[in-house]
Amino acid sequence: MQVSKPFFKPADIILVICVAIICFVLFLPNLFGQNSSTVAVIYKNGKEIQRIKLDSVSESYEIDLHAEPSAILLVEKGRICYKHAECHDKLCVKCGWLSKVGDTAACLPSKTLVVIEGESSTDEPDIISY
Amino acid sequence: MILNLGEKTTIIKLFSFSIFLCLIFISFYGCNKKVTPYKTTNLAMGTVISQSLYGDNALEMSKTITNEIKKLENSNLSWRIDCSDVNRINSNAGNFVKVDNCTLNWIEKSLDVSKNCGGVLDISIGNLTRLWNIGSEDARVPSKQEIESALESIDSTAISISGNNIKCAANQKIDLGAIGKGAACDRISEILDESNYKGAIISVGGSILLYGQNPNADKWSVGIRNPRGEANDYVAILKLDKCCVSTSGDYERVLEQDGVAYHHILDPRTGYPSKNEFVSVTVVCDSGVLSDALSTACFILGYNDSLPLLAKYNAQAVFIDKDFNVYATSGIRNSLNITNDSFKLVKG
Repeated sequence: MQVSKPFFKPADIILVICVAIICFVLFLPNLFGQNSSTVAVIYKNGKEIQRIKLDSVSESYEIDLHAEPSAILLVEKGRICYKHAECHDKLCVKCGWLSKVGDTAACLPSKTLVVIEGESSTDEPDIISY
Repeated sequence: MILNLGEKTTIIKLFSFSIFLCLIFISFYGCNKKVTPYKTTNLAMGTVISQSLYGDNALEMSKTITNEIKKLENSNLSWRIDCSDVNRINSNAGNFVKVDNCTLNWIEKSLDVSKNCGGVLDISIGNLTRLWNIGSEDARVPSKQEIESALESIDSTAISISGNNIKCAANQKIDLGAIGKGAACDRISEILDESNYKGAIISVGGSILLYGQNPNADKWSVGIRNPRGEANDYVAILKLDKCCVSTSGDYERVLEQDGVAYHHILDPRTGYPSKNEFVSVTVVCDSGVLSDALSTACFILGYNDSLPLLAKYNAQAVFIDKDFNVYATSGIRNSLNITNDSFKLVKG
């Protein structure tokens, strides 16, 4: 009677585990290494003028957009806002802090705009109706 | 090097399992990774325009959409720009003016809504909106006499249409501010149709076009802004298929004078900003013009008086009042998820 050999030898199983570990390690950057940082993109007169990695900000600082009317941004770690604007309704200042992907504040009179970009969370809505 | 049968078998096994495991990891990674749209944001039509495009040639499509919005503003909608249809109608008040098919279609729809909402939405409101001019540097609270004078000119039944020609009464000025952003959504939807585009979210100020299929979920999700929070704070999420969504709220464009806040949604019956218990209304329907027009009309009418109007246009709506009560029409209640505990769903 011919005894059939097992398909897997102990050495095969060790090899398969090694390959699995190698595959997993190779895919780790894709699974967890996505760039989850948020970037504030600043526009003036329809053109992008600056990008700020908000997670990399160590100390708060102000940015004068040199716009007419005047508009000044305040940048802190993880967030940004219009601190002061000379526009008549101050809607930009009232927008408050921007920190989540998709958050937007605009100062129409000064033709300036700040948008938060980055990898959005699945829990957040695709858009906000305002 | 010559391999024996056992070595060959081991290599084949190893190779096969390597591929198998790689496929598993690739599948796992692919299933979890969101499709990222091409996004762009700019200013036009006196508001913020944001585009999220899920399809081919997104950069080109984005430019096409931006150019079309600017064209609509310049050629059709803006009363400030000399050659626009609206400006020409106003400048030639009392005489017929030939207009673009789009302008004609939007004015016809607006007049239809006016007729069915008891005149709370009225495009012949131009004299009154210019008097208040809320949102501009010249905004002010007009005198009672000025308001009474402006009210005398408001009557949408005095607007005549003959073919592609439109005429308003000699003392009137039309203003398409209440439907302009929704109109832009409708035009963009046509452009996306022409390209058989996969999916897109286009926000034109308070009006949003949800187009095609969301590649990351069964439906699109729209946050309803917290009317008493910051601009990017939302209180509820609506899960929706392809449609248009417009919100009217008392927090946008406000004039503050002598400690009183005057919002921009004027009631054509009184001449003053609409006053009732509601602070925001979000309307969902197939057409951008209608969702935009209805959100303004429903904001003025309030929940109960809006129901027949919404039913007539097969539209759904979410109302939020000053006490943070949320009212949703029956057709949308199951799609609504309130995410802020301070807000409570009371009627649907």
